Amino acid sequence: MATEPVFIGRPTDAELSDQLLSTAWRPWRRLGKIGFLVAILGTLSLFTGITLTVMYGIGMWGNNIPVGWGFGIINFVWWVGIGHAGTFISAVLLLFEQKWRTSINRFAEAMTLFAVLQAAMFPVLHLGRPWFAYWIFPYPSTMAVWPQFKSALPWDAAAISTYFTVSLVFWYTGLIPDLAAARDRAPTRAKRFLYGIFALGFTGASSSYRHYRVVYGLLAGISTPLVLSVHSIVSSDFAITLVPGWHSTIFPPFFVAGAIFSGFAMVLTLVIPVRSLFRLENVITKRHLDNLAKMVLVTCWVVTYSYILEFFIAWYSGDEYEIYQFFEARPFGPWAWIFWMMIICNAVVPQIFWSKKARTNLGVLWAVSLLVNVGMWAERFVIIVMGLQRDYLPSAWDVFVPTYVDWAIFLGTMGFFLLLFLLFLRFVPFVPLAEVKELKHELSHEEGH
Amino acid sequence: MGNDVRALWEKILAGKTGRDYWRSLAELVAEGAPPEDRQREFPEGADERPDEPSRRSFLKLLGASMALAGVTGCVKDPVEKILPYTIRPPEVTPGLSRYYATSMTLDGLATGLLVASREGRPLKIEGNPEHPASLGAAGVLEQASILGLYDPHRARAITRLGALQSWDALATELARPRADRGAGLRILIEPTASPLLGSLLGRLLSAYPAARITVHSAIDTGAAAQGSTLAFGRPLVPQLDLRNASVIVSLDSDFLDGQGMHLRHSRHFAERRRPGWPEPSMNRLYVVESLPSCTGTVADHKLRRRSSEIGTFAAALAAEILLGGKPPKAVSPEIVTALRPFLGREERALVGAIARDLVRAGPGGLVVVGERQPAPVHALGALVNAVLGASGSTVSMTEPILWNPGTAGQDLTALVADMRAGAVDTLVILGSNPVYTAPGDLDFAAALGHVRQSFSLGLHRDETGARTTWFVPEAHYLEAWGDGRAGDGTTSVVQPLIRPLFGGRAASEILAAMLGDTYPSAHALVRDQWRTMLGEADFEAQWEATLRRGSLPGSEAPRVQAEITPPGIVAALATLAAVPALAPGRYELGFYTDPKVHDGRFANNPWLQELPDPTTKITWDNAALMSVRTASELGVANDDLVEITLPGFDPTMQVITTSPPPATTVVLPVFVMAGHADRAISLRLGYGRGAGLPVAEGVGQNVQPLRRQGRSFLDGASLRPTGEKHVLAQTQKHWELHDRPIALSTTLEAYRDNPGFTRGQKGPVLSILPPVDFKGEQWAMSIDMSICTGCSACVVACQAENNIPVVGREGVLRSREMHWLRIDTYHTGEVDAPEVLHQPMLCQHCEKAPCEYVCPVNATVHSPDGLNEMVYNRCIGTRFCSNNCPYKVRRFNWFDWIEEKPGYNADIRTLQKNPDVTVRERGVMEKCTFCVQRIRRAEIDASIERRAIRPGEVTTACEAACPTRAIRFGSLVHKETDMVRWRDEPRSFSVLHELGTIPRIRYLAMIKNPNPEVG
Repeated sequence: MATEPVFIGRPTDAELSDQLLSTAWRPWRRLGKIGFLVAILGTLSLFTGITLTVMYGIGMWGNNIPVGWGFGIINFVWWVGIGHAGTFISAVLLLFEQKWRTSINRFAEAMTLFAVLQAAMFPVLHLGRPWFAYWIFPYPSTMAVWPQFKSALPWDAAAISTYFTVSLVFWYTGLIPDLAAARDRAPTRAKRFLYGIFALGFTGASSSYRHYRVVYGLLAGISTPLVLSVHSIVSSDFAITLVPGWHSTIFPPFFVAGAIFSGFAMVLTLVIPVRSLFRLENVITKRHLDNLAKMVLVTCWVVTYSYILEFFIAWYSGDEYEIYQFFEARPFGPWAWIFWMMIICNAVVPQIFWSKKARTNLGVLWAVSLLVNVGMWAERFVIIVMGLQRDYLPSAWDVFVPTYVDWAIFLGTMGFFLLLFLLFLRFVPFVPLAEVKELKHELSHEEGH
Repeated sequence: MGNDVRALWEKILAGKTGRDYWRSLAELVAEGAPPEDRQREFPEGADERPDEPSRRSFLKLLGASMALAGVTGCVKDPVEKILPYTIRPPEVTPGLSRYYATSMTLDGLATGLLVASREGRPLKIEGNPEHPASLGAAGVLEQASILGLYDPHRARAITRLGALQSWDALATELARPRADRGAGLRILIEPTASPLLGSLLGRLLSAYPAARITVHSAIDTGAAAQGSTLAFGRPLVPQLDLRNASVIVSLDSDFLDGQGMHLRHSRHFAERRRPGWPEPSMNRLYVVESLPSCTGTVADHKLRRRSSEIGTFAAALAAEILLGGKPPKAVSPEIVTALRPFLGREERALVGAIARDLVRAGPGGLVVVGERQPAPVHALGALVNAVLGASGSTVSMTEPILWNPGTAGQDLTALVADMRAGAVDTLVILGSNPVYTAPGDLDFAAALGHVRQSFSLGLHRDETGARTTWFVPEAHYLEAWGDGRAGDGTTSVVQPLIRPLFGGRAASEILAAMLGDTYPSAHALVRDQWRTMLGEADFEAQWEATLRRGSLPGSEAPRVQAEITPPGIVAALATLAAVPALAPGRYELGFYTDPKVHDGRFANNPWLQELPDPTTKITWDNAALMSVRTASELGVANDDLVEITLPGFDPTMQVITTSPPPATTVVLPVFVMAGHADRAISLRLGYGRGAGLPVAEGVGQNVQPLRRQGRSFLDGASLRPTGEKHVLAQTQKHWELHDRPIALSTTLEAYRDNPGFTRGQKGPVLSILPPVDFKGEQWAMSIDMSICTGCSACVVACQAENNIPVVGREGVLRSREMHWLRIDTYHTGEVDAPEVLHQPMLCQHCEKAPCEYVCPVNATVHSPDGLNEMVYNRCIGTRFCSNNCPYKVRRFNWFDWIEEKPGYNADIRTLQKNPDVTVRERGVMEKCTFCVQRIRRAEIDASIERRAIRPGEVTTACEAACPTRAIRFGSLVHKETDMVRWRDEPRSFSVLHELGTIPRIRYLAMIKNPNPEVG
């Protein structure tokens, strides 16, 4: 079967620069304006939800006793998970010298950054007293009080902030050559000035490139373990407890696989419309989409295997609370339809990617990617809410019912994410120009042989 | 809808065990509808909570949210200057509570209490150990009455037709000379045993011999007195002594929870109930009732009978004792003849077994008849007790304790007839609310319109107060002097702790004003009264001793000997023989006082509204309680609204024609109760209060319109589902144990054979955490489930002690109630005869606490003396601790509850707050502290006196309140205490022991003592 190349056509460097940089200074289009409007409304809803929560208290949410964590932590884990693909594509695939990563890595990194930003809001926001959130960090307090390191939460805070910082630096470092190119080709003085500031004096000299390469490689090396550590630590928020359905040693790999699964799905969700809107079919080819779909299928199977294992271990352990959780509460208890939705979206639907036709059909790809996103949100709901709804003492059992503030914040983060992403598309070269050119040269070199 | 539900109920009933039922019930009703489905209950704005704003207010906030970000609070409170004591009163030590003895009167009978006062503020109520009706315990209503004192909605002014008036004007009006010898004067009072009120009423009657006095209570039908008249020829009152009772048969009597002496009964019952070790023995309790009561939940055998069937049961039991075998004592042949038809009217194997059990117990046997039952049943109860030889042992008779107007008395029906006839010129209503509490057929409100001038005295300007010409605010019992008698006749003083907050007046002062005393003082009146009782000699010393002690020793009513009068019994049996069967398609209605709001008088008390009903766990509502079979017949499930109609008046009753006829339809949500009698609907009084009580307004429905005077149950109601729903706010929705080792139970026989049945639920567990260092005091608790009746006094005591906020119905619907201590109730066994297990559940103070290691900021830590401590200042509110608590006893401040629910928590109510306990901020976690403030106080006292803490020196609030003393607290180093000894009993266990949390609370498994003869 003929595979589509990762690069189509043979444009000159100048043509490529024009194509990939022009997105940053061509005039606003109507679709863009509508997109921004939607994103701003969503952002407004997010901040209204936050205002209500901070003004009145967590009671604005649907959380209760026994369900102490609800949408807040679901959204947190979901967004962090989405944030995994970027680093995976940029760093891990870079280290494995996968060429197809080149034209989508910037894109995926930005997605990571913005997703982690959404996620990072929740650990603060879900606190009863968010103004004391800094107590979770080991800072030199005058009262010599430290965080309690046996808890997963201080580690969580450390992991998230590290991940965010490294992702930001990695993304920005990758951007520097392109910012320099944008500075050199920008149509107005103001833009030249601004891009100039952010380009940090990068000249494109070979010495600059050498240093740049070293830093970028090092950062890739640092980022790689983070891909594994962040979600492992997030998973320990659950795994260290004794809540039925949480207390499980497979959580770290299970969560990491789920994270990459949802991350790749989100990349697909975003890249397909952007590719069409900005006519990037030559640099983001069907080969890219095909590879992404394969990754989705692989991680789908890791996740599915984990599901099977969870049920098996629950039964094999003979623990009545676990057995009840997995064989009664989840499939038949309150909100059981979300559990079934999770199974269908995460374990069944992606199986369509066994077919190459499906992997290269934009409509199918996009639909499946959306369903996987839904399924992964459902998975977090199932784990967090269902475990708490049905724990040890039946007398304390109750159900979780989200409020409209929960929805405003959840949908609001999507708006805010979209806003940041549109700003990124609007002002930053979102396909790594320098790397694409390099790839082009490499490919023509190979052809020359 | 109906058919689906019916099919489901059928499926459940067809099941062999109750297990499927419990699960299905939970699935069907508990989570059928999310809380959004509720309808608006409160007036606009009253229940507006910020987490449920309308879409409009959301949009408003949407716009404002950005702007608000920059605006922070710049509110400056006005300066309020306060002055310190220049010279401190000698009895006040700032920071220390002083206790004063007083007594609270309910339904005419007093219960002795000790009230903690701090810097002049009454704060907390405890039982008075020296008072026979308390024995140191205080029930739900007594505990909660402290909040009633600080009710901001209490009436504050004397009014005439709504306009403010002075006391002078009122006193002039009350004392206006009458030319008619009182013929047009009527006084309506609550039952009372107060010597002072009795003597004032007596003086009033001698001044106005033609006046008539009506003693009215919402539920008392006077049947007990009539029954005693049938049995003994004169009205006498039974005094129970459960210390001697080894076999008890309760006929519709909730003697452990619902009556005047229930605290005493509970204590004595528990003393015989607790199976000790090494020789476990316990009493046996049979309960025959329609609505499952607290007493019913601890019964060894519970028989479901409609209220109207209990008379037949009583007769069948008497017949079985006297005819079924060799009677312990012969009775007159006419009784035997009259009883013969009843032999076999009930299943003989069952009743025979009970009868033989009673006969075996002899003087240790006891039949208790509930006040709800009609006179003939009381007469039969007296007969059986006499035959068993129980008189003088488990039961003895005294003259009535309550004051009786004698020939000047007039019942409510006659009073209303007089009022309608225009024969009543002046009506004085003292402390009663007849417009609300009078049965529907009387239509008291309309009758009141025919009275020229009416006066009412009440804590609130309630339904009656708003309709009488004059209204006078009443002083709370903690504000006014008075006196009273306990159920056994012991006389006690009502001693105020604070001047009336709202200028209230005592009933005695109104009566004195009617006698011409323009400026009466309740203090002077009660002292004058007691001077006559105690005698002039040495009065001051005796008076002071009485005040200190709270009661007058040796003042209980003398026992009287009474012989059974056969004609009365024969008449009683004749009445019972004539009880008609229930017509098909019709239902019996039973009316019950509420364990929380009683007859409605406590309806404005948010603690009580939020207290889960001991048997249904319903808060903030009343419901149509019915059995599974009845619900199946009607095709309804929990929360379905049903329309209850009483078609026309019962022709057997005395009927007063009214126009327009009173409403006889009430719509209530259904609540299905396992163990309820079939084809009977039980209704709680006290809900659906009218205006003037903002807390109570709109809570539940008033069922009095369905009631008929003199009846506590009625036949012939019809029910129709309306197709709508009203979600009941329950604190517990799942009643099945799922075979989990949470609440263990067994029978006495099995316990003797296999004492170690809880072995697997205690003992050492493996742990990677370091063991606890046992140095110094180690606080712990033992709870005996065998003697927990679920009465919930501990829950209110905890709320009062620990400043626990009220979250309202919405909060409960969202499962956010704040009670640190709850009573979990589990049902096992058959649907129709469930075994009920009450398990007080509070922080277990685990030695290896799962909450502690997950807190990111060290806000919950372990103290060296074994407490799991909550550091509010340090808590940032992650709720991780609550998620990881397998007992789910932690409570979170979802809002600033004082701001969020000011109607329940703010205003003058804050004066009740215990200054030793932090009022928690929004966003922090809280939970049971083992009353750490009391522990630290004892430590300070001990260290000042340079000694160790003494055994029993620290009591927690729940322990102090518990009527059966099922909760014991103390230090593990005090090996001689019951608390420690109980832990060594074979039946002790830890809840969820296998998790390795090593709880400091040990439970003692529930032991039942069923009669092996009863299948």
